[in-house]
Amino acid sequence: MTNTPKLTELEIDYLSEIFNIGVGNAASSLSQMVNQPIKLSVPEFTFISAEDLVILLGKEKLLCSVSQKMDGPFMAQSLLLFPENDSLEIVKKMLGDHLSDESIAELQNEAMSEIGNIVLNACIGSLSESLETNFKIDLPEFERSTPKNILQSKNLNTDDLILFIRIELTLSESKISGYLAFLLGFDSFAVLHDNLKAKLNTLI
Amino acid sequence: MPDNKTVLIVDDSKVSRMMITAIIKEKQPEWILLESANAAETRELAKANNINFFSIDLNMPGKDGLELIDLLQHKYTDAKFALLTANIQEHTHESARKLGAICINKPITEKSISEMLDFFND
Repeated sequence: MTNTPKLTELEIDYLSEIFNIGVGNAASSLSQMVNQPIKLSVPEFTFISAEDLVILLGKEKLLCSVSQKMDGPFMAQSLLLFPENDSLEIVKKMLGDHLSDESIAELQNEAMSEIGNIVLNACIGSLSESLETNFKIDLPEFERSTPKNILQSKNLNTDDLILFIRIELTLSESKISGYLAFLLGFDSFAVLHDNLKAKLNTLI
Repeated sequence: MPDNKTVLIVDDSKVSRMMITAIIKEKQPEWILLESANAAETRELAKANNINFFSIDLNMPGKDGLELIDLLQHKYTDAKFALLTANIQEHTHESARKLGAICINKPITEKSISEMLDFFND
């Protein structure tokens, strides 16, 4: 939590809880899709620059990304990222073990888009419910590339902030690491911060 | 007749504890409310106080809510346990049921906390 801009401990706590709820809800839907219980780690939460995120995720590592633009009181790009192998593992569990590896690879795009749609919508839903606001959410876009290319395709500005959340999903036999990232412009971050402050003021 | 029940609210999120506390205070102003952020604190507080009701979050660092309930219910057989979670998987509900606990779905709202209080008061 080193790079956190201007948020108090309580604000970070609240934001973490909002995403905890979103990811928890998403896990319920995913569990039904893969037909087995999913255990979730407590999400680790940080703000990070694009440059540092590329290093953290591994410069040359191949990732699968599903992204959705969200537009409401503020705008952001939401991303769900999985390492390539973990992504194939999830798709396999989702579609059944009877399919060949070729078929799994062919269906990866659609299956991951669906998973992304569920997870990202659950998180954005939790955010809008908690902040009592609404977001329009675009259709999911799938991409398979290195972290650098994925982030470059989102046309980040130098002062954009990335709210980065690491979660571990444990399916019955396999541990799968996934990452959530929300790319926020400076102005959008200020609006999010104001919303958090206003909501917390009602509690204190 | 005053009914001074004691509730221990266990959640690693301070904001969540504040939200739960605010709602219970409004609905049951006479109750004593204690808070804890993890399993170790919970065990200490449970030892030192006569806790009637436990409100326990599922997803916490270290021991999770189900493990904690499993541990506590053997010692505090008269207490009632509620597991608060956004994780509405049937498996989670089933595990909670086996432990005699009720599952309350997050987010924390007046409705979800009222459901927990109904269970405690039943």
